[in-house]
Amino acid sequence: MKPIGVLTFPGTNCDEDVFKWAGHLGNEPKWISGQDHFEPKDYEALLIPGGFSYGDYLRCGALAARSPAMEDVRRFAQAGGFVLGICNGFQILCESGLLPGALVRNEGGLFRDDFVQLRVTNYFKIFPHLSDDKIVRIPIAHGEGRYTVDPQELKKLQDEGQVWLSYADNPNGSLGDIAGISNENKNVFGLMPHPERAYQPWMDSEDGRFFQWKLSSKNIV
Amino acid sequence: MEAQLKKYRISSAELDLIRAQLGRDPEGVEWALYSALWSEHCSYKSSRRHLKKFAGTLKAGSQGGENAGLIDLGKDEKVIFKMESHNHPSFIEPFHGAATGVGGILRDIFTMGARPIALADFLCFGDQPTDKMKSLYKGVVKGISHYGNCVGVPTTQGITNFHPAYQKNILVNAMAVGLLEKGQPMISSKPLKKKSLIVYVGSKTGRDGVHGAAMASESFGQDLTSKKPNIQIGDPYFEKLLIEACLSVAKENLIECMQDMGAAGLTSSSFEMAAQGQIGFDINLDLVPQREADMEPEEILLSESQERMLLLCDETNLTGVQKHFAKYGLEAVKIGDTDPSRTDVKLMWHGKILTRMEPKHLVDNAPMYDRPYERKANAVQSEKKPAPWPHPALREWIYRQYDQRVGTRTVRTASQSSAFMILPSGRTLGVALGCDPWLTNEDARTGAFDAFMRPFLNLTIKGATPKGLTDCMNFGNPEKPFVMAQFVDSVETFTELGKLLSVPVVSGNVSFYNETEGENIPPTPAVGIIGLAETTSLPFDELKSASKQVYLVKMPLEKLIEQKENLPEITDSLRNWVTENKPASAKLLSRRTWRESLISLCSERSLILEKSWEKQLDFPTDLYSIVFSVKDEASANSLKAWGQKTGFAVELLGTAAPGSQLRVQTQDILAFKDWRSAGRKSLEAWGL
Amino acid sequence: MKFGVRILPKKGFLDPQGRAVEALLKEQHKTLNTVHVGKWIEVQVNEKDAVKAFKAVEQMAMEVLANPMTESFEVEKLES
Repeated sequence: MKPIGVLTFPGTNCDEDVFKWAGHLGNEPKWISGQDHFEPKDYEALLIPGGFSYGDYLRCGALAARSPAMEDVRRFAQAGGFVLGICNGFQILCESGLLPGALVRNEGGLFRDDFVQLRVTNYFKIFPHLSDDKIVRIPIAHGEGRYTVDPQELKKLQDEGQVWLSYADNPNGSLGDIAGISNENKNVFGLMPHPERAYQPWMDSEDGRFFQWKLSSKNIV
Repeated sequence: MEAQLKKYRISSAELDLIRAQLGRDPEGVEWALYSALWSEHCSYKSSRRHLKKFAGTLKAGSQGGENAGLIDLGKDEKVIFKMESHNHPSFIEPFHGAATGVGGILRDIFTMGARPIALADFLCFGDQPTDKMKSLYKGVVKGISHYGNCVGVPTTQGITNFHPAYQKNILVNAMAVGLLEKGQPMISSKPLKKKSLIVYVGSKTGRDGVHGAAMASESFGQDLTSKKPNIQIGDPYFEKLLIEACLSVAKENLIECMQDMGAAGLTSSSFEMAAQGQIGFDINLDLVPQREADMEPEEILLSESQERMLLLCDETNLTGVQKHFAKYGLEAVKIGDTDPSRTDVKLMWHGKILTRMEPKHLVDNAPMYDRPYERKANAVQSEKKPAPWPHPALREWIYRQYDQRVGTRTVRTASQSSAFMILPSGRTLGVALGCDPWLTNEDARTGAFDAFMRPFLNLTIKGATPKGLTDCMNFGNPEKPFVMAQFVDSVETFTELGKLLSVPVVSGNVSFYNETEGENIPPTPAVGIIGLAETTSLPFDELKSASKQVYLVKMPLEKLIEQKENLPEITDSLRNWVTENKPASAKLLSRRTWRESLISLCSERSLILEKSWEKQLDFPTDLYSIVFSVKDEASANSLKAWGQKTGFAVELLGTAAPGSQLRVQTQDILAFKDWRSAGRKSLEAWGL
Repeated sequence: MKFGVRILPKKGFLDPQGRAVEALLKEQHKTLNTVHVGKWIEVQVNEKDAVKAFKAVEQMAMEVLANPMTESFEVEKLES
């Protein structure tokens, strides 16, 4: 098995957490510097962690989306490879055009740290432990987590089954209570909550373990 | 001359001292050097004499005297921590003032080679939600949130006090805790006695905060607008890069020592390093990276631009250092050399020598005042009414804006009375804060005792052993004898308790001159204690599903003070009871009525009180009242036995049951959700 | 009447946003020199007197829209 690439940009601060979580789940994580190019064929899957890449300056994820490694992430995704973006990673994927919509300022304008209940609204074989309608408890920590997209696109996402996670109790005003979406091809995923903060017995929830992915030949690049 | 003294905030008595040192008046940039380094903020001239007493609390495995204090926890785990104030800048510009306060305290941690793993804040606001106070409250929290979250360090603990005496003078103290990685030696700020390069790293130098240190050492008058200094703007993104770069050169052993540029910027870091190392420093000020054009040497010396460090390295390591910093997009510029053959600091500007100054004049021999102190008999009558601790909703509004879990080390968050972070060994590090102005305002000694004991007990009842203390001594005008007495009383109380309970005072900060229009703040010696627990299975504050019988332990404050010498035994045996009996919950009650303090335990379980409690609910809780939920008869009996042995009352408070209400037998007294809604009113009053 | 308020970091103050954007853009555009990031706010007021309206918007900028301690601002009258 090829290693799992964990991207890191200047300012990314959840990279160590995601690296540890990926390893704990039984994968072989490897660092990818966002400022350099990499060869997509060298990796099994790509993870884009949360944090404040480039300080969240200009717009969250805007500068990271325009850095060298993202060109290779795009090639990897276009070839059908599995990409998971968490929090800032989700924002970067939206800014890169690899996921539809955008994440903007929370309703109420405040950063929000909390545990939330998420409903799995679409089953994907790639996440075998997340069955339809399952409720999981995962922490959020963000100031710009409100998902927004134009109304026609929203309908399409819902109809095409691209919404995989919804908030049971919307903490930030996200359209359609959306906490996580996938692309049309269902190989690129983004979510605002942090599964890498909920997988050990002392972490107040172990539901982050359910986010372990299982790749099929479709996702191997 | 008078105008000169006023501009540089040097007294005429101090001028005499300078004349005695130099044999002449200061010249050129020397005015700026004395102004900065002899300010209260940098020299601790009013407090140093007394702070030396803390050295008596140090013991093996603890270290003071550096940027931050160190405690060796064994198993190759060393913790570095410190608390610092940023009161004056936060009053003027709350967002940036609080943000740069966080930035500054973090630098004190990673300058020693430790990765910051937790932050905590200690805030004091006025209790009247005027427009000004509301904007201060919101701005300060936003600033801490902005900086802490972006830099990637969780703010897992905090205390917020509301008291009328802070209406014109708020307090913003920030504490940071760091961990030295296994095998990573502490980086000192003391140069080696050899030729080394002086290297400047981080942000370019601008005109931020020129004359800022002198400003922080002054009281506020009526006209606040005239105190429009250049406000320091911090950049947490840049600091994150700086953290990674500094830790990587420390790890690779490329540097000899490091000091952050904080108050009085380059001046304090260079002169303090030179003084410590007793080694000559040659600094070319024109080589300092500048953000603005046409900067004067004095401006460069006094600039308080954020996110800058000064380090020394061997010339063979410069390229290595530069490579590491370049990886993070940061500059590492050689600005000078050290010279072991002499001890003075030579400041140069385009080849011209501006001054040659012995650092001992500015640092070691800075004035150390023996300010007179005299206790004032307190006129305040203290009735036994509840201290108006605010509704927990105000505190929750704050910590919900702080990332609690970045770094995935957080075992207990700010929702609890003590935070706990997991260590590589699987043990947990506890952080608790203390200081209650409602007590310190009545009596400084008792207030200081409580400032130490409340966090000490908070850690103890969770099964953690307190290991070290940092303090931020916020006081009024030290030139007033009654204020000085409050300060001395606080230092002596911490020293006494630190020795008695084996909690070394390893670091701290003093903020004097918190006086506005002649009114001084109450003595506010803020305390941060770190403790060590052997497990991640720690009791929670609130009742849990495993809670059954609920017991109340009363440890009267007066009795604890009377029986000081027995404190080690009392607290050790209480801690042992906790680690052996593993109560599901343990809480040192807040200072409100019994009704209001007990309801906060009922978020997940109802507490059914014994009938006798009906009449007591509106009375204030006693200091100290501790509630444990006990899992079986044997535990209850051993707790009672502890009570018998130590002479403290242990009584059955009630039982836990499904639900979330406070009840007396079958009668509902208060539902947790209604208590939460009451919090809405407090939030609305503050415009939140 | 319509006005635009241009807000930028005050001269001499650190502009963290500008610095970060500049660093990244410079790698991709060699002719780039500096970047400063601020805000542009458009305000419409129900006031027929142009002088009064301008003064009102200036006050809004001073008191709310900008932070006069760290930001500088300019008010511009716009075509409706």
